[in-house]
Amino acid sequence: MNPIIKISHLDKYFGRLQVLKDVSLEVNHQDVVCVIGRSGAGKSTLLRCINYLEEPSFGEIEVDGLCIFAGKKAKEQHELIHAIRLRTGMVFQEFNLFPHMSVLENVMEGPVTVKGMDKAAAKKVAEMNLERVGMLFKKNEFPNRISGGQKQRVAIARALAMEPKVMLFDEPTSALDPELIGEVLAVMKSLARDGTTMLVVTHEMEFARDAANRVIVMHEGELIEQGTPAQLFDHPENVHTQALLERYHTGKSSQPVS
Amino acid sequence: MSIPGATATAAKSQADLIFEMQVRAKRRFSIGVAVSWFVMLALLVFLFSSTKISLGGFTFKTIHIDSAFIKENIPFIASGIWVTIGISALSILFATILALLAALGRLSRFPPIYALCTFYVSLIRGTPLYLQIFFFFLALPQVGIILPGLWAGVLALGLNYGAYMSEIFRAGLSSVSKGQREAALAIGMTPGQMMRRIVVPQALRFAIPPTGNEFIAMLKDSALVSATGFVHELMWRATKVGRAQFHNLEALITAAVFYWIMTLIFSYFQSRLEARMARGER
Repeated sequence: MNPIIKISHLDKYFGRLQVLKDVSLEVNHQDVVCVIGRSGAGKSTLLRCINYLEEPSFGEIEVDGLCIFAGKKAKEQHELIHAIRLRTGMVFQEFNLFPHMSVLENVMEGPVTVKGMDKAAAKKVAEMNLERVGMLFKKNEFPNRISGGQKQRVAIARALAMEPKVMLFDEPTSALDPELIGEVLAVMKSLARDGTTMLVVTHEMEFARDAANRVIVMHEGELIEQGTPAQLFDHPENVHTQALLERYHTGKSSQPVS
Repeated sequence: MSIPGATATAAKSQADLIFEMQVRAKRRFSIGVAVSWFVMLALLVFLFSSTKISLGGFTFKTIHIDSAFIKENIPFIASGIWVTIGISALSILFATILALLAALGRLSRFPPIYALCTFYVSLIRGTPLYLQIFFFFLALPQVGIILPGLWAGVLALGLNYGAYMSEIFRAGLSSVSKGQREAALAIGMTPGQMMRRIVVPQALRFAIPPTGNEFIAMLKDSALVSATGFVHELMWRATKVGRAQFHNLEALITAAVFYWIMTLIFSYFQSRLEARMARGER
């Protein structure tokens, strides 16, 4: 089976600053891939290049057989970009729910406006996906009336409602209060169990270890190491990976056993 | 040794005392303002009441107003209220559409559209409103374009306010965060769908209270179209009867009172709207 996402030799410059250096990776069907690394390592930029929220500078991105060449202007291939966005669902650090729509309307928006689904059918799809993230009970609330963790769960349902081939998570718990992180991670784990293909940029090492079948480490724009969580967490080879995981390991050992 | 319960009650009652003091101070201020307003209003009425005052050997008389004239002409002047409100409402509607288009156009990457919008705003803001009004009433007929008075007025006021209000809508559009646009694009919306469904509704919500302010300003600026003699609104009616019977004082005071009351009423609704919009995102 072809990979869902295949990135080959991707470079990205912000002005003169190179933030991605020759990055190549594959995400296969039903993979859960976590990307870890320090802030500023280029993790989010990599993710945002996949659905062209950032325009990559050089290289090639293939999503579900659709191939896009960076360096060509976004304008010239907007149909391709649109097709790729339909195949990818994205969850943002800041949730970005639409504040002028109720929870239900937020999730219905994609199916109705983008897919042209009729409202009754879209409502069913939305309710099913809200149920999946445990947010159906707040379907008539507006985003400003629910907690951060709840907002993020609705945002996940909004992306799922478009039935994407792959879900892209851009630090989905980084903007949350510590006590709200758990509910979002639980939803993400249940998606992983159901076989959703996921590419997750995260600082949650515990989640990467438990839920991922592959972990990718980035450092200063380069992909420096990848492997199964067991390989990577227990026997990291790269010095930067070792340094990155050191804090996680010491943090864990000093915590009381629960 | 201190007793925890006792200090707690003492602290609480002190907080209460300070709070009550603040509430009392606020109330005293509001009452003071209200009383002063009333006194000023009474003085103003007194000034026009033609009352005789004797101070020592001198006798003064305050300004005399012909109340019979006002009584006789008040229906004629008052019937201009609806014209004033109507022309203001139509103009603000036209201005809102223009302002939204101009604000959206300034987001365009296509040079002629961006240029058209900045050109329009620059031209209108660089010339007097009074001149623009006369242009539509008096200059256009010279080239063969004769608009009915009301429409010429609406066109002039709408074009003028649209240019100023485009800044309001521009601020509204830029108040919608980048994240909102990205979320819309990420679920597969086209840029057009993104603007229509996500950006513009939020920008409009932001722009509603300041648009209310513009409407109130428009109520008064609409008086300028009376100068052309074609639109029979409040100001035109006041000057017409005032000049004809040499009772400008009474006529203008009557019109002023109407304008003031209209402004008070609409400002009240405006502040309520503003409070409602400020309460939540919704």
